[in-house]
Amino acid sequence: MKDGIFLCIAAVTVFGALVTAFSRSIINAALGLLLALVAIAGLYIFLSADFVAVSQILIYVGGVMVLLLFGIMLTSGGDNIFSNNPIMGAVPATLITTIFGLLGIYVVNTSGLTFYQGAYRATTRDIGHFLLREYILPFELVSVLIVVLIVGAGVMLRKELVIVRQAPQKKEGKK
Amino acid sequence: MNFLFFEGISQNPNSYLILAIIIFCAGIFTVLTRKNIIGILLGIELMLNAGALNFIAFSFFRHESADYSGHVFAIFVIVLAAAEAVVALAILLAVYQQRRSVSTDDISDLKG
Repeated sequence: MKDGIFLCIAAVTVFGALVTAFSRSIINAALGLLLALVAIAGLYIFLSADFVAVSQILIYVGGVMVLLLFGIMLTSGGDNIFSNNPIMGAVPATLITTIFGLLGIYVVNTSGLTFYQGAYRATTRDIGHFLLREYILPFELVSVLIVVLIVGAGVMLRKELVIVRQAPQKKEGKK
Repeated sequence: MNFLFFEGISQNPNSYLILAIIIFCAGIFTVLTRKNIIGILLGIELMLNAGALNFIAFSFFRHESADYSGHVFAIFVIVLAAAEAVVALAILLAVYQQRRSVSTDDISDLKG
């Protein structure tokens, strides 16, 4: 039963990833990524990572995917929706991908790590303790990063940047 | 090939690791073959997710007692991926305002 559910979730993950990798339509690729992200949240639940699974759904599916879909809709106006994500250079890309895949399988097979039978526990309280004790510095650095991010995204999308860039061209025209 | 050495495929670490390899390879293929910048972003998200899945899998299978460093790392990966997507889309929209295109063919000023 458990293995059957795992296999279904794994199949959905692989399907979503392959749709992202091979779809000619950028919107289909984004929806395939959405499918893969939701299925990976299911895998996190299998690995006793309930908090990370919920974070994945909240941040990725609720935030990043909406952002990406907005980006797609704002930038693909006028294109043919079924061919706006063309695949170029598939042969060398397949070669490089194969190398990485074989390398990964080799590492997995020869790692020699000892694995234990994992145990299912509630994780949220302990993650809070870890975040505020061992990882307090990265935690605070992430908040600094997010402040920089908000300011940077705002500055980057200001209208003035476009005007500043066009100003020298007008001077050249007068000369 | 020591694939099924615990009871059941869902309690076997290698199944998660192989799945992460598949997701990572799909991400690499996406990044290498796309001309649309948003397509490249989608591939990067896939690769980051494969890494986070590995963190969680090792956190689950490598510790007898509770150690949640892997979970913390996965949360950082998720947060940084969100930050990266925000910055990338801001750059992308700024470029699109000037070029009316998001294809890597049209944005080649720094190519030399």
